[in-house]
Amino acid sequence: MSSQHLSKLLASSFKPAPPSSLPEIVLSKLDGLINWARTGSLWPMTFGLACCAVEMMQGYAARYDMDRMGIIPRASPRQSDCMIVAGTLTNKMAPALRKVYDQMPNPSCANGGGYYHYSYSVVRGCDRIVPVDVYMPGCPPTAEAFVYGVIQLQKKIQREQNLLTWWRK
Amino acid sequence: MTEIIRYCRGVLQRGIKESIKTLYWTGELKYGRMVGEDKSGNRYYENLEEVHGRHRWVEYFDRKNPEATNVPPEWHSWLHHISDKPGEDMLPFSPFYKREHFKNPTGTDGAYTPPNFLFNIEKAKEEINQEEKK
Repeated sequence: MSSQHLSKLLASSFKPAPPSSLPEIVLSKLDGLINWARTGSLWPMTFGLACCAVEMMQGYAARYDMDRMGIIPRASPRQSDCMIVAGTLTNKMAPALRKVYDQMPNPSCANGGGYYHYSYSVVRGCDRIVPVDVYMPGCPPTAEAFVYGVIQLQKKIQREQNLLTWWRK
Repeated sequence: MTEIIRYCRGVLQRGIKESIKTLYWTGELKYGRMVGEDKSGNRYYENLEEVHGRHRWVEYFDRKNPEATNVPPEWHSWLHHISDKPGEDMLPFSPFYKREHFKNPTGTDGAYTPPNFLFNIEKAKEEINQEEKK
């Protein structure tokens, strides 16, 4: 497997080989259980920076009500599973973002791009500082787009097969 | 009381087995007039007795993986109250340059990667096919 180019691995990784032996079946079921638990209680660290944060608040509020999907905003990074960077990340805020990210136990990240991309005081995309899973288009993204992005993140978690890949490796 | 009647009518409309499945996957049991069905098998319902704003809804063909982009544009306009015409009647209004609708390919083999990207999926698929031919 080590000689294979990464792009081929990526292309073939979307259709994972079905589990064949008994331990593989058990591990894939355990994977399913872990993914179910993770998607069922995705607690985001809210990193609201600008107007996008207002849309994020809408997403949490009564109309779109992300609590029904188990998504509860947490104030502490040590309790949260993912971080939502909503807004422009300025140079001054960047160290704080990185610090919060490092304090999280098992981080994943969602992000909105930027209207202020070419300003001198702005980090051009927060993917320069932290790894990003989902990008939401729009400035600011609508609350619908925001909810859709979070559902995409849940789907991404559901595709994960950590235990199975560990066993096969 | 109205809630119980609503649920009973929902069960009457689809039968016990179907309503248990619908309750499990969508968390709700609505009843209403079926307005139509699109190419991929999603069904569109309307019930004017529901709360305003929730009186038009879609039941996806693939209940386990609900995906909002499954809804084709002609039905999207009906579902979001852009027009009152159901999907079949909206088709003549579609522009000539419209391509065939497909759902969001993120996370599948059809996902877009830039042409010179190191992990380009298209190129990798071609290479895999060529190797299989050999």
